[in-house]
Amino acid sequence: MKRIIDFIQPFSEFELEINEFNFKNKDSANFWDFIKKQNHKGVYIFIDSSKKEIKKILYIGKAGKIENNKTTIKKRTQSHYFLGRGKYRKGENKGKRINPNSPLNIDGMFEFKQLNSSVPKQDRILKKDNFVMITIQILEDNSVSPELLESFLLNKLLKEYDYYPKFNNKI
Amino acid sequence: MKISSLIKKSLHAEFYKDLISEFESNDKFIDLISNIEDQNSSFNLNDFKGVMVIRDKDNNVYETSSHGNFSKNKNKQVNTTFQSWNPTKRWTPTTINVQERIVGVGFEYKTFIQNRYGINIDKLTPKDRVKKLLIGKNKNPEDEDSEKRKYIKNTITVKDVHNLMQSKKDVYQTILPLNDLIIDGFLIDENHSYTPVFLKEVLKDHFKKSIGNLMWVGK
Repeated sequence: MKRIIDFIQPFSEFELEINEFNFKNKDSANFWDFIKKQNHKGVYIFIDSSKKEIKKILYIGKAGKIENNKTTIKKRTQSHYFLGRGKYRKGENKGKRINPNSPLNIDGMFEFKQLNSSVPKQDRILKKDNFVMITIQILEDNSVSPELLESFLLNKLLKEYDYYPKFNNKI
Repeated sequence: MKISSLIKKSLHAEFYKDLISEFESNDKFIDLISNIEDQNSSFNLNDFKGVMVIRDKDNNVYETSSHGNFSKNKNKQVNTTFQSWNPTKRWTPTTINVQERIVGVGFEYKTFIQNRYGINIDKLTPKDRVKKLLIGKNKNPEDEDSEKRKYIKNTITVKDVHNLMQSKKDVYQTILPLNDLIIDGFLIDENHSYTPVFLKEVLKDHFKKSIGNLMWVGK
């Protein structure tokens, strides 16, 4: 978190809000409460806290565009990563969403239901307490674009730390 | 210029002028229209990696596009080089049609596919025509609709687009005469301190906020 705050210093004149969620002593309901509050455009970062230093960062994504666009971090992330689009193809649950209500799987582990790059299932599952999500919300619309923030952070990691987040596939 | 200082400088009115000067002094700036017209140009457009800015003489900016990015290969290894792409061989988001001396801005996939194949890409109709096209391209017509749309989009070539532009200009939102434009090329290779995508986003942000005298009129 501190490092992310340091990173975005060049954007200090813009009204940005950084939020963080982790599952320590929390459950799925707390997670959805957090997601519901991410109702601005911006950038979201997935972290695996079991890793060291910069390698904790798994993915940096953007939500919304500077133009007329109402996508928020909440809208972009809630169903895509945590609910997924997978549906039962057979049986009594045919047509229903698989595991519709929880970002946690039946083993109590955190599971990304879907990612933007093809990642083996075992890499999409983290110990519940290792999953951290950081958001950078752009409070004043049109002040800075989510695309620019995302690209800035990815360039910072790649060019200054020689690090390419595991789940990103284009920088 | 470092990533952070580029952000800071982009908030000043003289940013674009200074950026051109900086790239010129490093021999990394090209006037793309002169380059396209000069048959003996020293720079081969097939080697273009960087950012292209399309503007007119009245300071309106229509598009900034990036050419080249660090991607991952099938084995999830990061490619250490990125592909160059000749700006005259692209059709999206803009195209430079040298033969007709026009530039198309804002490619309309749906209009193009409707005119080229007679297919409604949203509804994937008529079904027999969709099926025939997919089979002709060795694709499974039973795949999911999202996959079918991807396959159909992947059939598009710049040659097809330019051919259709002879009769259907509305495959682009805006058509501009090449003679009225200035097309700036900023050369950025793998060793640069930032990627083409990043400069593109910085420039878009700068133009959209009308910080300098250039104003964004693009999509």
